[in-house]
Amino acid sequence: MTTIPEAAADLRAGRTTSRRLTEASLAAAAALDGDLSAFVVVDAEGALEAADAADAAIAAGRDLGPLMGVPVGIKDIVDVAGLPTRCGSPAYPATPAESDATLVRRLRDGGAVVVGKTTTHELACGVYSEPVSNPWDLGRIPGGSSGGSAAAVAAGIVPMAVGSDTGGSIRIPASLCGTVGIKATYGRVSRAGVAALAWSLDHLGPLTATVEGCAAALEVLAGPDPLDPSASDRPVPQYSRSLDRGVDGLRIGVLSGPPLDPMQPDLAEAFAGSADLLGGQGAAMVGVEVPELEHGLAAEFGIVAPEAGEYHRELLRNRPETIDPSIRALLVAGVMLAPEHYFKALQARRVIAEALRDAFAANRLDALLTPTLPATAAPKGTDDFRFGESVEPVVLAYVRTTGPFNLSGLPALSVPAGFDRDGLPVGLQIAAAPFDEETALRVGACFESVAGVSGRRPPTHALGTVGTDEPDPAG
Amino acid sequence: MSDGDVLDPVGLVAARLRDLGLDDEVIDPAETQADLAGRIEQSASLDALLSGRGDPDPTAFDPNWPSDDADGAPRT
Repeated sequence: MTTIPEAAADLRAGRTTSRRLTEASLAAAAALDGDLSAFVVVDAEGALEAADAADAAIAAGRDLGPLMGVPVGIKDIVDVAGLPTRCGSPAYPATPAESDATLVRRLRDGGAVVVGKTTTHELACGVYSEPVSNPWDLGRIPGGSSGGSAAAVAAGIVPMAVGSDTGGSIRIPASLCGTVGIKATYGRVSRAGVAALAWSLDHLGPLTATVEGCAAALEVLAGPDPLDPSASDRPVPQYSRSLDRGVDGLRIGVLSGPPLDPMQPDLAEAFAGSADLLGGQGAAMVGVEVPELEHGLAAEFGIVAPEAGEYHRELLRNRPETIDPSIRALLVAGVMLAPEHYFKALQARRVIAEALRDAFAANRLDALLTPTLPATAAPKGTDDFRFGESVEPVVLAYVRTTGPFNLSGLPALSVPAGFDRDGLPVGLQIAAAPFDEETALRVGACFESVAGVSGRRPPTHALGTVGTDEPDPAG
Repeated sequence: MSDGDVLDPVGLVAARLRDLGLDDEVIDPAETQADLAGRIEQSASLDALLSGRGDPDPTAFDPNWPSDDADGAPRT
């Protein structure tokens, strides 16, 4: 898989062109998407036009940034001018969006090449992302709701795809598909031009093959936006400058207790091994418990339901038959429940955020580790996980470890941390203090360099189709 | 509905669905009532978290931590 840094270097050295990278990406999509369904639309004409513009800029000596000339995918809840935003729902029209979302504009200004829109779970509200398949095992789910983005990156079709994350929708598929993904601090990436699920929990961010690529992509995506009042005005650091600093001298928390249990044994083992690896690199590893996180799911869904219900109220009134029954039930509940339940969930969010802040302060933490998820990719059609004697719905199992960082707004990165006994990817989650994505990425880069898992490719992969020198199996 | 009418929980949900314009055949009042009961129970579980914490201002949530909180500041 050609990564963002490799593509950037090859483009600047004249070893490849954006057109060649884009043609390879389009060929990979054509070859693989029959199996993966990662894309809902591929815009070959627009992509090649953008690639030629990037090549012209390079030839003119202009440098638009780390994504210049790089093919990217955009989750289909984000407006891309000229393409419809369908949100994985039959209720959304095929009418093309009139303008780009702010983050898409930032990508285009940075010379990125939009290849197409990636499949989302319906209304970005779920973890299955049907009909997307996981490149590591086509019979398993990719996670969601940014499942198409994760599958496209994991299969090497594009080096980066944008996802959104309200309760884990970037980190869940990143973990299940073996990619890197970051949900930056709330407000770090503009939400303007993006369909909402729950306004106060929604985050945007990149999924990539490597931490370095993730840092580069976030540098482009992040920044202030007058069109999004929640977007932060804080300057965006050059995240990539800290990636090689290691973790020597850092204090890194290792979470135990709620909300980690129950967990598949292989994942518990991988998590302990991941912490040991970072400890071996000079970080002080500190055991941390945050009992308040036991209530994360109740707070998460207590906020998602009323906010999503209000956002989709007209759809619920006028075309309820178009909405999946489980999502419809959530939306109906959100509209019908008394406001006291919403305010109680908001109060709980504040308590949980303060508990995490206190844990960072009391232990003088720079970062906090958790397993990204307590389980690997479920077989398609699975409703529940069985953990020993207990049974838990798949969606709740996945969200309970990721949701607390939506509630708190903290930046949280998922990096590949190994494989379970079935060869399915396992993720490590690295959270940091507000707007300290730099530390999360720094820890992630160090871990990636010693974990030795980033070079493995899934069985369904483009191989050379997005590369420069490798053979092209798509012909 | 007059004040004298007594409705079962499902009937109350059906009436509320009508008030909200959500009385569609795909939205079953009985299923909705059962779902709401589960969600209200989940909400009640938060009482254990909030107990003894005063009355946190739900509108004051701010993902920024205080910049002068030296102990909590990143050490990088």
